[in-house]
Amino acid sequence: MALYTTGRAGKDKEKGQMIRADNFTKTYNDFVAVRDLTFSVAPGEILGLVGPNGAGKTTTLRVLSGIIPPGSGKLSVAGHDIVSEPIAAKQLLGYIPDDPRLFDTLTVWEHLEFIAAAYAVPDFKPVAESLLQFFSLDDKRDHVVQGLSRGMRQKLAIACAYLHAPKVILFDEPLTGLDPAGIRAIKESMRERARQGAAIIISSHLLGLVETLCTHLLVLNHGQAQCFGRMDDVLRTFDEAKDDTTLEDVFFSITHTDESAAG
Amino acid sequence: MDAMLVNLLLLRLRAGVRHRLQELKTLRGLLFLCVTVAVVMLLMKQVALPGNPLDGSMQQGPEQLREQLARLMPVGLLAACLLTVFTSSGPAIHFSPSEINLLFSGPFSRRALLLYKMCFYAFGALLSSLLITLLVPAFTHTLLAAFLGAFLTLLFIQLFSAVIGLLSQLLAGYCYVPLRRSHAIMLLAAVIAALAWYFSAIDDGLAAALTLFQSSLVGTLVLAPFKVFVHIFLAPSIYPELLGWATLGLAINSGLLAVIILLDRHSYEASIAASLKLHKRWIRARRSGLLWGAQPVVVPSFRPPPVIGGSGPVAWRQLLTALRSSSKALLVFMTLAMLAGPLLVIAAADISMWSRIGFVFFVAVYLLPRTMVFDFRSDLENMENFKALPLRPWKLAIGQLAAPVLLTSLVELLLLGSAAMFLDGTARTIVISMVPFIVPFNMLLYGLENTFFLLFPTPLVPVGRVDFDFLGRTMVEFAVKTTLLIGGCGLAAAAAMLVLNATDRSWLAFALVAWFSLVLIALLTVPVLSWAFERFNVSRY
Repeated sequence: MALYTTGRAGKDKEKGQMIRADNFTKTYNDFVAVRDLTFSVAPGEILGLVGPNGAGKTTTLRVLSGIIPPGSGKLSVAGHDIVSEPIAAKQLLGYIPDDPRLFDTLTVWEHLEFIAAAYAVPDFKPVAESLLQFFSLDDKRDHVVQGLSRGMRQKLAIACAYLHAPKVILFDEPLTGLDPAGIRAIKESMRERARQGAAIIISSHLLGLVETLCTHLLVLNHGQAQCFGRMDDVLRTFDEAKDDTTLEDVFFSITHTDESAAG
Repeated sequence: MDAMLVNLLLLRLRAGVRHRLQELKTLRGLLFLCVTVAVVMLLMKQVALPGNPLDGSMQQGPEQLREQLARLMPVGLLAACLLTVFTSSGPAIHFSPSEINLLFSGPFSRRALLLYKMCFYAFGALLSSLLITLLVPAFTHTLLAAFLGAFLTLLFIQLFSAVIGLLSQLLAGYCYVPLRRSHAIMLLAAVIAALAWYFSAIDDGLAAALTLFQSSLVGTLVLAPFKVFVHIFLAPSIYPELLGWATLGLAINSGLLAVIILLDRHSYEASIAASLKLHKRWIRARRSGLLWGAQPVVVPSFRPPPVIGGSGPVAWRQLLTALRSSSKALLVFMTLAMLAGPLLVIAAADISMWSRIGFVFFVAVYLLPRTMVFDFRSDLENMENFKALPLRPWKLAIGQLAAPVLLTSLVELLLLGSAAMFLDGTARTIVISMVPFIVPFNMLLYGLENTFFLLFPTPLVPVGRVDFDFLGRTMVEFAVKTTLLIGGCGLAAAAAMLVLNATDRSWLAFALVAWFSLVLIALLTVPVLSWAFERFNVSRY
């Protein structure tokens, strides 16, 4: 049973949405990875995308970032349809995959140069310098990325995604392999980007992170939206009898109910 | 050997067979197996023919073939052993990380582990020997002789390489530096060039010089162990010849194994470190196709890439990859190209024109593209990044093709340039007139290579020692690619011929039309490659 705490907004509000997915479905041969998914994210909002393994979270993010084509439905990024205007949509989007694949032979600084050239970022150097400093990578500037630790690679991938000041940022398990300082820096950067008007989606299994950071929540299970709305509303609506309902309670309640129903 | 290790060997063998059978359930696996079988059968038929159409010197009966084999095989084996030693890197005996983690900490002696590893190698040699047995019956008296000869010879090459590797570790201390290997290869190329020069100076040619070396005292001593394996191949009867020579071959291999066990004590730790290092390199090669990937940790960052409509950063990044991961390989290729030109000209008396063309074709169409993998083929893991970039696929395709086309063209330019220096008259004019065709030809070649890769993405190095699937795949790809390449060049030539006839044999018009046609055909690969990139599904890899 799907729980939507925020219904379809009016047309004016829809126009302001940075990320929109309408009746989006994606199949791999006979397997339905995502089924009839509808949601939206406005500027300044952080949407937490949660669900068990194989729920369709990564597929949703990959389709939104134009990496794989959608099956059916309509998806747009900053008003650009990702099928008919993919380049315009990608120009405004930053995507950080769960396992950042960097170019092994390039240095840290060359990665930023590459992104700046690919996204046509004018005068990128001051921004790049500040990003390196923010992520404590300034002393690794001329290091070939192959020799960097998992956490440093993750930070560099995020720095690359921030460089062109995207209006939409998609994170897939962003905190994997990071040290406590790195985790704090990235959480802080996410809030800051949202304050500046970016629409953000964070896919994660770390429910604590999602609960504290995200303004909105979308729970997926077996490719279907089980719950979508403002975080406070979801927690409140889900169990009105309790004052201290956590996202963990909501998550297990939804996914267990679903498993029971399936069983 | 420990019973548990024997069990492990059998389990791994069973797993290998199961893996192959599972692959056969897929259409691609079945298709490749069929083509592999077809190619092996064609080779068998080719070898069984009394005359080889590619080489006039082979138009002889079985006895003459055996005589030739007896004369040439010892030197060939010596060359194979030296080549294995020079081109092998890492430890003499390689253990995988899982073997190091699970077996080295287990209750097994080092000797048992070495024997286990040797048995593992022997399984690989056994399969290869079966294939060789099918291909060489025309040269041998019995199939058993062919099989035993192939099996013991392959083991000998393996053990010989290991002994030399351990000896060098013992003498110089372990130091795996790719730079040394590239220098060694260049040195070897220079020695070969010098030898070829020397042999060509002998009036009776290369064959006579070889005979002279074999009959000398040094030649007799050096080639003695290699001749044993030739005798196994050529044994006329099972008893006493085959049994006797095979026993001697087995004794030589056992002796080498004993030497390995003796020498291994001194390089145990280094062997583990080298094994792990080699494994990392192999994984990288499987992932990205970069076999020569030796990279420093800190390097000066280059200037920002030129944008050039979006293709610039992609090409810039691939050129940097080539510079940082394969500069030594490029250097070796350039040196060989400069040496190969004069060699091909000087050895003209001993090598037929078709053999020379075949050699150049093999290098240009197979060897260089397998080395210059600075394009989509080395980016299987980065496809997600490229898909997310705000770039039109055709711009990305051009950017990806730029580096291999430029680098291959540079090597080929050196080859043609060095050959032109040693030629005169019409031959020189022909060689020089080929220069403008290099870039469009390579554009077509790499366009096809990348399109195939995106449609059937697979790593560029085999999985394990005997990967028949990889062999079949390579054969299919090479056959189809060559057909398309020849078809493309043929179309350009046909258009040029029409113009030649229409313009009263104007060779300038012929060359211009041929060039423009080839450029047009090469450019057509860009939209095809873009289409292949667009339909590439990152979720499957």
